[in-house]
Amino acid sequence: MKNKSLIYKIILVLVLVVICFLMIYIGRGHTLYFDSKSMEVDGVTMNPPYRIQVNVKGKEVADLKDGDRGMAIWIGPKAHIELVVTKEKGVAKENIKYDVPLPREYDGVVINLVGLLNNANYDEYISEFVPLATITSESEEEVVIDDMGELGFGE
Amino acid sequence: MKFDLKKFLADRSVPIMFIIICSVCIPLSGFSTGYLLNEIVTRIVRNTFLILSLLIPIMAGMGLNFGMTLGAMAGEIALIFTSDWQIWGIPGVVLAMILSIPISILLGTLCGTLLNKSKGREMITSYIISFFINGIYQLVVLYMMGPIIPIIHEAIKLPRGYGIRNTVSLLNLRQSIDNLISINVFGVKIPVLSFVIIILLCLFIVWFTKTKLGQDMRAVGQNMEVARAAGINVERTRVLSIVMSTVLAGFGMILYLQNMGNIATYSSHSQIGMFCIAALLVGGASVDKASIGNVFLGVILFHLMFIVAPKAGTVITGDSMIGEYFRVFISYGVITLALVMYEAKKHKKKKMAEGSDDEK
Amino acid sequence: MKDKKFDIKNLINDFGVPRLIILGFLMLLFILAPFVGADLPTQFTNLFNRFSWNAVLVLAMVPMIHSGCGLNFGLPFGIIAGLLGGTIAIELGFAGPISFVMAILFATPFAIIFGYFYGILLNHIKGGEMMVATYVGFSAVSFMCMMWLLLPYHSPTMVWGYEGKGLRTTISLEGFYDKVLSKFLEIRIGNFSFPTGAILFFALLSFLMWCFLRTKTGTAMTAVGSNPVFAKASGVNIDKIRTLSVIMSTWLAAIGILIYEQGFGFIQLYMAPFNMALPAVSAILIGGASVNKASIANVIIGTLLFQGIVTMTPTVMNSMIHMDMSEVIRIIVSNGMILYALTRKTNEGRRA
Repeated sequence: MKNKSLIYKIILVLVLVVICFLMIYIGRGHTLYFDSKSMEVDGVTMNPPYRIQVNVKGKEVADLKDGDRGMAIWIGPKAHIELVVTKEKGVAKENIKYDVPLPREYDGVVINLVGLLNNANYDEYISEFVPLATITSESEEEVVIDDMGELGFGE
Repeated sequence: MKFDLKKFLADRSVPIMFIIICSVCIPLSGFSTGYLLNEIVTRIVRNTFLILSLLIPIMAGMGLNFGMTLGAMAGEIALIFTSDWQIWGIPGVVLAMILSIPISILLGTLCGTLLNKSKGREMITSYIISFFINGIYQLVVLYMMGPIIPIIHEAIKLPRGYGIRNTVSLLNLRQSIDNLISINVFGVKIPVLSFVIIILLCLFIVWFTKTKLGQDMRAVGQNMEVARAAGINVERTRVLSIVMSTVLAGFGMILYLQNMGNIATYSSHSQIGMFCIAALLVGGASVDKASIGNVFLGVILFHLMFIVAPKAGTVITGDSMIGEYFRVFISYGVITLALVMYEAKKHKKKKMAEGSDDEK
Repeated sequence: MKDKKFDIKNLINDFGVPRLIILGFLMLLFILAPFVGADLPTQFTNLFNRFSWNAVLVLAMVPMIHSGCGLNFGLPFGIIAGLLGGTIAIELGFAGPISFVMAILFATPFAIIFGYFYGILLNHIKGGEMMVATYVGFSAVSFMCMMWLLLPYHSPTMVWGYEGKGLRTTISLEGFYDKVLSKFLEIRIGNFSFPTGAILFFALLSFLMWCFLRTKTGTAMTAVGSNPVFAKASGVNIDKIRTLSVIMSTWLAAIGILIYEQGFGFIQLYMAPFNMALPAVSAILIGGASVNKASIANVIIGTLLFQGIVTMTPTVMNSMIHMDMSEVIRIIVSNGMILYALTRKTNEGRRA
């Protein structure tokens, strides 16, 4: 009897731990940055098309011309994105879907769409987003830590 | 049995008083019905889970668990981690809940053990425990997070390099549960999933009262000595009730904060116990008796008063602060009233018992 | 008795481990202070000043503990009486040292009336005093928050300038009773100063309390607290004695806050009284009192230890590790001490 309940407890804890890791896996959030700019791989220059619209979860998040950058939020290890490409002005649009695996260790992921469209190597079109200036540190925040706090009800 | 109107009203004096206050203040405040309904729904979603966590210790006769703040702190620590690891959306909420469990169990066991050492004055003790643990919480969050407990992102640290900022943003977690399945009824946004979670907890509590452990708690609540004679491990049952309450409070706090969208690191939890308890009492609960109905009635009436009082106060006195102070006064007043009524009843009972012993 | 072995473990238990830790901590601070460059005379000046501000508030705990009403978490109730006294004295135009005397005179009737009703309330809820006291205090403070805005105060030094009504959150006492006691017979040696007047005043009140506890009523009060059954059997009116103790406690709290104000230099209204009960409660506990036993010595030792920690930790900690952890340490120490006292078994029979 006692053994049995112990086993149940261990199983419960294991299940919770597994769920934990699962959540860490599927819940990892990234900020995606879409670049549409020419890139050079092994001496071959790839030029951006006239216009790329980026759809994430059925919503248009960016409309990029040469040199533009767009941004979106993605939760999960693989980003499903849909690109609507207009190769040249006046030419018919083309829908292409991509599944882009995102590196866990990057918070912000820069995806060069030109590389993605031209089937460049993964490492070549994915890079980590590094904030230009480390967040300008605001003046030291005052930390209020009295027993009662103020009486505002946390609105 | 004859229906005793006087007793019926006397038992419900607090809710009735609140209905009167609200019915005076609502027209004065001039808020539209749509606005009020939306606000009320938001607040039900935000607070009900937390208030429900108070029910189990009441059942076990341990009074109002001012120590629910401990659970709130556990929830906050868990959320700080998920926020730092950038686990977003519903997975983030689930992860935070699981992470909060061990912390809640630890704090709950500590609280329960201390309360066992102070039988008869559980409430004041749990009240002081919440302050004491708040000190420990600040020690951990303000000084240990960074140098000892690894925090990855500079953005949530204070500029000095250790300790967590005053507010931690939960932007990508914000209302992820509330918005998953939400419907719009006559301009009122109803977050279905949040309601489902609250109802599931209600069902759990109803089911729990019927289990062996639930019955034991009830027995302990009614009379510790009788329960002990019946072979119930009183101390263990009491600790369990506090642990359960703490864990649920942790979950409740996580749901509360995902609705708010940010953590006020050093103040979110400090008032939460107080106003959850006030809301429960407004719903007609007493220190030794509370039901799920009390929770819902309380959350509606209390928060209705909270929304309309400042505006009504401004209209009546021309000073916006009067209404603010009024609602604070009412919250404390309600708790005071409930405590006085409970203690007076207990004292009277004891006196009568003593009186019969003395054959007076 | 004599054959009982000298047992160090018992001795420690009697004194209490937390108290030992606090004492050790404070001694460590004093030892470290010179090494980190803290100026000891200044430290002692601070300590004695803060002692003189707070001691009477701590003394206010004594009567209620003696009569078995437990720790007076309802201290803010008495503080409000003091605040009313102070503000009325200023409102009526008294200035200088006389305003302090008048403040005490005005505060007294309020304190007696408040204490009387508070005492009657506590008689109805024997056994649950501490929790109710806490919330009675809170309710009173939040009620007075409204009153400070609404009561017809007009003195331009106290009301909001542009509106002409409603009291300010902090009122400067300059020109009124700012430091009247502290400056009285003050001793100054270099950096060191000693607030003789304030300490003498505290000594006077303590002496009166000491005398009172030795009168017939005083011993009856102790009896009510330590053995209510016996007290009842010997014909003591328990309720009356308890009410008296509550009135005394409330009055001392009122006087205590006035003394605090004269030292601090400001009257703090609105939410300020909220946080005043816990430090006073923990101070007397640190001094060796328990939930049902307290002496004047406990008050003096406790206030010195508590204020010692409050004044010493910021300086020493800051210069040592460049981290100001004093606030957190204060919270943990004071609440930990109260928690320790609450979870200790009280003398059997007391709650029967």
